[in-house]
Amino acid sequence: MSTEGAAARGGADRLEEWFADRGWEPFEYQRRVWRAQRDRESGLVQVPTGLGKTLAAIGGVVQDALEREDKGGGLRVLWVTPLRALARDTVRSLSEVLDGVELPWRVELRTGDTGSARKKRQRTDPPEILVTTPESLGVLLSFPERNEIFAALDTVVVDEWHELLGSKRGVLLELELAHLRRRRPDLVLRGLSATLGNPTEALRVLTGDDSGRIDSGPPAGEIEMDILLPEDVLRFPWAGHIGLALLDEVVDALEPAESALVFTNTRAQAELWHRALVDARPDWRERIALHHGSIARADRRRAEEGIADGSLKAIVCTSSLDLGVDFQPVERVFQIGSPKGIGRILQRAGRSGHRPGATRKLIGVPAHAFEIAEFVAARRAVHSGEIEPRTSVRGALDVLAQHVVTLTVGGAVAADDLFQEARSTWAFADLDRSEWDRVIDFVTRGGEALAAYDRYHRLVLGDDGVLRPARSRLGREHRPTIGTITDDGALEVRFMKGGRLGTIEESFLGRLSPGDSFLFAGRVLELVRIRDMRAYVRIARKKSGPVPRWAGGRLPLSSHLADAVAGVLEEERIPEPEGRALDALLAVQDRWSGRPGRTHLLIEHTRSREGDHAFLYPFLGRLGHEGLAMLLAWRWTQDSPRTVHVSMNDYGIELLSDGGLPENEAAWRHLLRRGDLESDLVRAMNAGELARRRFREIARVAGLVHVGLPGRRKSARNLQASAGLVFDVLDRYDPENLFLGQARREALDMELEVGRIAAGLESMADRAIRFRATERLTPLAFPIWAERIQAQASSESWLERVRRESAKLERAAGDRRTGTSGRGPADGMSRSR
Amino acid sequence: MITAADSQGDSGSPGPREGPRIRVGTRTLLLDHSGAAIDPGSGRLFVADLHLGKGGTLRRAGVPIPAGTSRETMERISRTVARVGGSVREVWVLGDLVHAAAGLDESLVGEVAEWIAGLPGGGLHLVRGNHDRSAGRLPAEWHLEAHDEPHLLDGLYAAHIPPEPGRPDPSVDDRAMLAGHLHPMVRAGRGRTRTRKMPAFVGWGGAMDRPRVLVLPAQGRMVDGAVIRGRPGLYAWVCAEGEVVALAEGAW
Repeated sequence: MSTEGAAARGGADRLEEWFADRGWEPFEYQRRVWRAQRDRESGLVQVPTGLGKTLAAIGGVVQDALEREDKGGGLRVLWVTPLRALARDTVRSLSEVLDGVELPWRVELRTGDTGSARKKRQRTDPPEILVTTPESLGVLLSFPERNEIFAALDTVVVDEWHELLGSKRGVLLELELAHLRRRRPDLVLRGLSATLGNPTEALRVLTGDDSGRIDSGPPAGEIEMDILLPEDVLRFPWAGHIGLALLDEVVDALEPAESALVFTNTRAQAELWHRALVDARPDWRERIALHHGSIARADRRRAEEGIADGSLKAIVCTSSLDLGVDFQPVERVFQIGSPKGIGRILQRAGRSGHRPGATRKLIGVPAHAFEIAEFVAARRAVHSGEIEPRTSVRGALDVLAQHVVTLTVGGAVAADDLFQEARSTWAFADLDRSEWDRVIDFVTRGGEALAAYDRYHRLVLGDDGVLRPARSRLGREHRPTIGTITDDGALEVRFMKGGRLGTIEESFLGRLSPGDSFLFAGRVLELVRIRDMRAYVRIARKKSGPVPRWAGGRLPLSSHLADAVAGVLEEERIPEPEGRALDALLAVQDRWSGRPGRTHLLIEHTRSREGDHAFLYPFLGRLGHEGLAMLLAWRWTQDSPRTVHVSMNDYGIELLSDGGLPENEAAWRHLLRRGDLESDLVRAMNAGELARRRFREIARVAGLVHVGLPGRRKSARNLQASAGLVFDVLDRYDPENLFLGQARREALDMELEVGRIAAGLESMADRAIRFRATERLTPLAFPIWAERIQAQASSESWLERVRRESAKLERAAGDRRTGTSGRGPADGMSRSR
Repeated sequence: MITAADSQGDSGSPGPREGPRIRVGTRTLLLDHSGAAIDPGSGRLFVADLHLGKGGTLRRAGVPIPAGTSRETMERISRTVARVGGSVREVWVLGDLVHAAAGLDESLVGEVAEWIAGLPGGGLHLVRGNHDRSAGRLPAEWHLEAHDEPHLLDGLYAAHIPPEPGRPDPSVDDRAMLAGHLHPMVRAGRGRTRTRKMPAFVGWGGAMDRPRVLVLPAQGRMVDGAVIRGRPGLYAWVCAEGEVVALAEGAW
């Protein structure tokens, strides 16, 4: 082997040769990033999936190492990735490059799955490139060996930065990077991301300051988006319907595809579609797999490999396959139900055609009629290059508290250094001294009101301003709790014989009794018993059962897309051909009421046996509407005692009152005032309950609840106290507690999207209000009404009632038909498949 | 747990409504909204699951729970005793008086001793629960009259862990039983109108006005409840807003 000869040639040449050997030519952007690496300039690289961003990031490092004939010895590059599944593929592709250019460096993986012997060895003999997650990096920073491990660190690559950016995991990483930067002031930070709406902010969050460059990859190919349409457009569709109406069309579109991904918005929807497809085509049973975050990792892995080796035809999946797991691009991508956001659709479409300039295909499958408008709006936005910004999380004190403990268990640290590190991050740039002192109070004394916590031993702040662990075992107790991902009380689902199927929330399983059946992991299962946080199951004899509902299924429409949908719906005639499918529906909307819009606010007023209904269409998305509806209801009940029920979807809200509703514009304007929005909201919403919900995560991250250690289940039993209980106790004994405050704030910002509501109210103040008294529910109002009925009733009676009502409305629309709407005979609601 | 029932009951509203009376085995019991069951005939007041020292146990393990939860648990029982009045002659704990040995520091041991001395008869009867047993020898200065479960008392069993519904416990005969351990709570109603979880008495066997097993809700401030879901054959009496309300089958 001619290592010497190779070294004689420049590193740049060898990399180019390696490309040439494979018949590749580096992209211009890759060369730019390599140069930036040589100049030791940090930056963000935005590039769609599959266009060589791994090579862009590592190429410069490799060239540099070859030039300097750096044979290694010690950690040079940290490669941080949000997903363990991604990490494995990254190791593989990095190894290929290193082998190809004959750079004798090691690449290793370190995640929660890595064996303990290897992890231990990595601490004394780290590889040159370590691929890891923010959580595992935290663990590494909590060991005393960190001084040696990071002594020669040169570059940190953050893969899929856009995924981390908007979450507390991103905050955790920001803090870790700040610490590494203090150790290694020359560190090069390289963020890799999909195309972002706000790249400048994304870069700032990564580097903590204004430094760094932004490079963009070649433009992705065109996105071709087809929208499947039913022969008959259900006239009065309701949200929450799984949209199986288009099953036959999806089967037809799948037939010719060699490989396909069928994306859904929720795990429950994925289960149902998987089931429906397999029932429709039993011959595909072995060729269609299911993939979502609750399914056992081994099964997910099998599905990914099945697509790569061609043994599978399709995977029905959720956002679990959004990220760049590096399997072969598929031929077709389906999106079942609302596209929800522009960035999301781009990412999913990017799963097909991984070549620059290659056309990427996405087939939209609307689950109800208005989702046709959502796909039309998304397609327009994609073509005009719009994309949502990703905003980062700021002020997450729970993460800061955890991080302070993490660093301290790895060895004494000066509190002031940590303060400066925190302030150097985007997340805590505004952290003031008093907040910091409260965090320190918390990790040393348990909190300020809690000076009487005589036995509380976590950290000790010495007179020298240095933080030290209060007891030697703290590190061992703390490490397993590092991270911000909360397992929401999930139970492992296993066969009696031992095979693991995945996890399901306790809240769902708790409602089942032994013998009950349910659909999970593509099978109908029967619950045998629940023991030791495990649900034991067997294959059920029954053919069907309820589907678990996982938390977080109801992603709201992004503000960008909601606005775009309002734009589509206000058009007198939608120019796209798919618009024809909505013509009949919109004709009824026009006849009975009118269109909502972006320059006016439509308020429909309907009277029924239930009382007075008002329907408003602000298009703020479900979460924003939830807060807005509660706010309006609360304000309206302040003047006189009435009962107001509310309901909402992504387009609008319903207020139902038994004691009248505002009757004129002034009264509505008064209700819709900005006023003291935050404090009104706190009183209107059961804000305490929402804060209590947020507190679960905060308490775990900050270390307010004891997390059982693996293998120590029994001894930890005495230490069990739920976050809810701790919340109640703190609320009573220590109401000013730092983390209660954070929970309340997060409830407003994240659960209620108070910012979106405020913007909505301000915009509405400038718009004309159009009142329409309608005799019955309009096509836009009906889905909102149905949401409320669904919340009140059990599923059976809900479906029945909604069917009955929609049939009535359908008849009414038919009776008043002018005869020109051109509906086909099958336009009715009652047709079932 | 902190519930509407507590705040109402603790405020000492004038003449709280008396709870339902049910027959358990040979005894007639009055269900109190504090979660205590009173046998007016014998002058005994039964409570369950105080878990004294749980806050301290957690603090010691690095979980920052404010001090005062154990004190408040004791005060709450004292208030119940005072409210029920002079008819209470003995207080019985149906297990889990303490949480763990780690939480029993000197000051708490003293506080508990003082509290017990102030109870009617100046003492406390304890049917040992699983936590009491694993806490080891309890402080002598508490002068407990401790019994192993199940303890036969006036023709019914005082116990900590109840038998499973529908599954007879071979260690006892078919006499009725009072127990704790489950920390029962229920949520009434369904859908959006479903209530928060509220402490409740839960019973089974026999009939609703004379169950064979009656499980008391937990007294401890620092104790989580377990939501019991209604099903045929289970009875529940929920403690809410200073009252005890019997829930109809299917209403929870």
